[in-house]
Amino acid sequence: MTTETIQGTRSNDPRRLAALILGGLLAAGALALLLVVVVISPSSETKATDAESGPATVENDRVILTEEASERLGIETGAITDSEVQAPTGESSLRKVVPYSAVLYGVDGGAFVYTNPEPLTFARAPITIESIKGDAAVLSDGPASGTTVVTVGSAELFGAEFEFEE
Amino acid sequence: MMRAIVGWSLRFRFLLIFLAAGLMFFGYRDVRNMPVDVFPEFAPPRVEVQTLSVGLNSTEVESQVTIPLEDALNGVQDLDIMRSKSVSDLSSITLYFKPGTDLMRARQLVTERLSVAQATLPTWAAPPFIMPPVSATRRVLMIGLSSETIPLTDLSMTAYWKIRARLLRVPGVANVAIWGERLKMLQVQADPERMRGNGVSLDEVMETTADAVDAGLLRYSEGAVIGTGGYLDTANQRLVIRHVPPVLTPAALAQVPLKEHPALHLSDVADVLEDHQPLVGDAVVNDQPGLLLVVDKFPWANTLETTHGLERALDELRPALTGVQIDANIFRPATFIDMSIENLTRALIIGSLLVVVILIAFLFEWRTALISLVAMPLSLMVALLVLHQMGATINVMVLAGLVIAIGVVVDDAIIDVENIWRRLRQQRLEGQEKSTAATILDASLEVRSAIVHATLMDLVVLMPVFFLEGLTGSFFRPLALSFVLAVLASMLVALTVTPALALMLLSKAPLHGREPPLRRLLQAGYSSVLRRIIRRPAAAYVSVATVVLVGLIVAPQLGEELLPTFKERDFLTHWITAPGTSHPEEARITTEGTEALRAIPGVQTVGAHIGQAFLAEEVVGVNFGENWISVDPNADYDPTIEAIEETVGTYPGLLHEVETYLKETTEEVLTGTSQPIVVRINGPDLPVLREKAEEVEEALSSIEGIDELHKDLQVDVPQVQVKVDLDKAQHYGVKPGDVRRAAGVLVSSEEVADIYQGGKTYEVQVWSTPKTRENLGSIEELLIDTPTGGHVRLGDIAEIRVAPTPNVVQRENQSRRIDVLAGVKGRDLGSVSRDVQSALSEIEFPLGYHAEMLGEFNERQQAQDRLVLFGIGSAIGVLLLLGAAFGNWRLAILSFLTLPSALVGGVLAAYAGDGVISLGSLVGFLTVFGIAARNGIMLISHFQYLEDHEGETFGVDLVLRGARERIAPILMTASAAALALVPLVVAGSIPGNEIEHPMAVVILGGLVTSTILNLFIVPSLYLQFGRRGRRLAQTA
Repeated sequence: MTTETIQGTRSNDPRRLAALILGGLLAAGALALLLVVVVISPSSETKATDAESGPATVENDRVILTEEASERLGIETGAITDSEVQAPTGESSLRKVVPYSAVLYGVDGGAFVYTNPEPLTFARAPITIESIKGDAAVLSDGPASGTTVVTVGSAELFGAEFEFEE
Repeated sequence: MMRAIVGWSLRFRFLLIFLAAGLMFFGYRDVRNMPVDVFPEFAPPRVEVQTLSVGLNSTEVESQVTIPLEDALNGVQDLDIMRSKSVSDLSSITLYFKPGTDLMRARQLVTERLSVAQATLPTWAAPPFIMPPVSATRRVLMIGLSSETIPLTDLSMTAYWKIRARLLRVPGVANVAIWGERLKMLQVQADPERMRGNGVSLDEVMETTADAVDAGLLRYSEGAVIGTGGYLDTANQRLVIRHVPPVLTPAALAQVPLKEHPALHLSDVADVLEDHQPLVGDAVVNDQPGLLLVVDKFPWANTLETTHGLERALDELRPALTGVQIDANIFRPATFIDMSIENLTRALIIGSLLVVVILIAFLFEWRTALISLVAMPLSLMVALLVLHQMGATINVMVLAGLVIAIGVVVDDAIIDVENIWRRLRQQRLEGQEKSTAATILDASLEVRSAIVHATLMDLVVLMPVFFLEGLTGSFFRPLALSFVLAVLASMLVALTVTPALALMLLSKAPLHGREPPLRRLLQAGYSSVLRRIIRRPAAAYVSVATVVLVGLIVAPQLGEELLPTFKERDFLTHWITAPGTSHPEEARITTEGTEALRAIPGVQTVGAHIGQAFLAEEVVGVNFGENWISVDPNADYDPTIEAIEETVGTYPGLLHEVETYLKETTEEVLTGTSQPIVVRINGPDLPVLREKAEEVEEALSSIEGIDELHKDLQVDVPQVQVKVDLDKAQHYGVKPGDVRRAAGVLVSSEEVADIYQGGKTYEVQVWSTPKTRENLGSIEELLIDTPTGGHVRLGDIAEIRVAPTPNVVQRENQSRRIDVLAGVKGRDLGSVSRDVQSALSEIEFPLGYHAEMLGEFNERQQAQDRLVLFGIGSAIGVLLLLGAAFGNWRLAILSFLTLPSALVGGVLAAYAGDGVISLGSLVGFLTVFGIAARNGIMLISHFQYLEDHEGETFGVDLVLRGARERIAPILMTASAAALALVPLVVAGSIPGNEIEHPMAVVILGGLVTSTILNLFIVPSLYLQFGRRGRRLAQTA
């Protein structure tokens, strides 16, 4: 009824202007919202992690550590030596001896140590223990005298080799 | 009836306002003291039974202790799942009951069964005990104790007898477990060499020690009977004689003569000293051995309150603990709650201020702004008070429900006031004769009748939530409940307080000034745009269809995640070496770890616990450690987390995953483990289970998004097996039982007496010198007494070898099981789970074995299926309500069909933001739906009102006028809701906002499309389809 007449008497320009303003406001509002949502608000990580070259790699039955990993573990080494060992009978002889802290037992009783053939490279080597004197194990069989063995950190090398990590 | 309510409110307005003010005032105090927690109690009722079985390995524990107990407990009423773990020396069975079971009754039933089952257990298995009932997120505080001056043994005794006892008195505390406890005790360390040299047997040493002290424990020794002191009766008095136990120092005990060799003393065959028990666990605090006290809370306890109580107790104890460093910040979930509340409050305050701005900008009238501003908090307050009366805690779900309701609350507050203002202005300008009160009454009812339908629609949409089961049910129900309460409160306030306030404030107000410029501008611009669109509605429909299409395309691209990652400041990382690793090594590498972690900037403190503790819930070996990392609240969150993960990742050979406690416990409750993806393989034979687990692991390793894939640590570990050769033993006259007892005492010690002193109990143990048991060779050299008084080497009468034994045996519902576990990274949980399921279906399992997938995804899938069913029911309800609101079925169906397009904006916003649909986004969609529905209904019913009550004929003019009159309130609601949420979006996903942030994102996006829908599409629709055949309402 009256609405049309009222609107009919208004001129076009303010209406068009108002329409433009309204349209602009809406568009600006939408854009601003989009900006706020995308740019300002932090979004969660969606990029996939690249394949990690981990602290340790296992290949050909060897465990290879990075420099950092070795420091983290606090790897320390000792050596297989020839020492004077006193037999129960009383006589002493030169026997192969390894620090007991280097010894690990396998599930079936076979003992082994981790040797260090190259820097940051470790490999298991089986040993046969004849007897234990204090903190040294007298070997009847094992790597040659002078071989470096890991005395601290062998449990973690074991874990790395059998993939207890990750 | 509504007319009566509004009328009554107008008449008694002063009384009403007074009551409302009182409610606000007293209510505020009550609400401030409401218990607050992060999660509702979501775990099903559960009972844990632990049985110490010293001397048995895992398979022995399983067959001799766990299985008989499982058989006895099987079939307890309301039992849902029974899970068990058997490790060396310990059996643990957890019974999960159906949700809704009364916990106390369940415990009662379990106790009854246990007392019968006890008789079937071996005598050296200590009686099974039931752990105290604990909450789903059980740990409420972790306290590290260390000292430079006080030895750890003394500290342990104080911690157990004084500190623990005091902490247990704090309301809400269920249990305090102490890791690293080194009980101070007297040890008689027998030296077999010296014993042999003097011809003394082990039995003699043990009996001498037991008899030497007042309270001996050996049943057949004289010391077992504590003599009474007796009494003297004089003619007048009775004097009781009491023997005060002397202080027995190691030196004094060492001088005790041996029973059968009185010329010799204990010191001749043994070292007598103060030492501690063999350790099955340890703790690292401040990078050195210390004590870690872990406090668990009851299911009904409140985290904040309990934490404050504990801290007060510690403050009371502090003066007496000089020289002891007490660190109560290692794990403090209350900090997260405090931060969340602070952040949320800040966001709400800023939001409210922005709403004020909008109201004033649109209405240019401070009085109306005031009315709206009073109505909104009043509604929320009423809802919270009702919740308080119901005994609920404020948690993130309740808050989420209130936030959904904000859309309704804001809308209610605005549209009533806006319409009252408009009608009052009209009345003043046109000089109508109606009184102010009558105008207000009619204006309120004009709006209310329509809005009731919209409110009911909101409620109908949320109905399905009340029917959810399981974990999702316990999570979502508080949300639905708080939403319903807020909406009802808002309706009540709109019917009572708003009109009353309006009458009070606006009756004398000069409302006939110029129309607010913003309003005029918007109306004019809108009219011209709408006029053009209405003439060519086809374009409008096409655009709706396009928008819906876009939404349908984008929606499946979104990932899914049930729970967000809460930005807690407390992390834990497992620190697990290969099973079979020793305690010294685990302690060493854990100390290395804590040192490295503490060096990270932003890390406040790190405490670690290893292995088991008395009365604790960790059923693990000493190779198992957990580092608890507390991050400074002021530190930069993401970089610190990255640094932690990086540091942790540099350690090879260890199982380490960085998690937050909340995430770990929710997953643990869901699956019994702590990973989101779990494949559980059931079957009888351990080697076959392990083989199948390998196969499954292999198959899963190639799936993208799988992170930290590993099997349950069920492996064989080396074990020293001693098997007596009966012939050889008989040759020496030694019985197998003698061998076991003697070897047991020499290798693992035996408690033979107790000393009571100063309110504490000290044990007296007989053990062997460390040299006697230091390596495999020494075991062979152990000297066993023979009946003739001689000795024989253990190696001569027994076969000693290293053999494999499983480190743990896990069972579920009386079947052995093994799990393959994985986390998810870089892809969303839903898609990864689906890939896992298809990979599983390709693997063959032998007869008697089967695999199933558990975890977050499973739970959500079930919840989704149920939701779909109930959703259909809700949709029908919505359609019916629309029909009732409009009185026109064509219109109802069309509205129903266009409503989803309002949600598309939310979908797009979610896609642009996080790219996942989560709990928060779902809440957001509900809110947008509610707002879109309300605005649509308001618009259409206004058109109908104009036709029925103001004599407008159906046509373009009617639509244009109706739309023009509604644009202001529609835009007001939309912008008020949007601005109220902007602080939440800008703040990001900070503590307290993890659910609210994605919700706000979705709401903002949805508001854009729903407003456009309501402003341009609904009028066109009405013009096309809204012509009613019969006039259903009266003409004005």
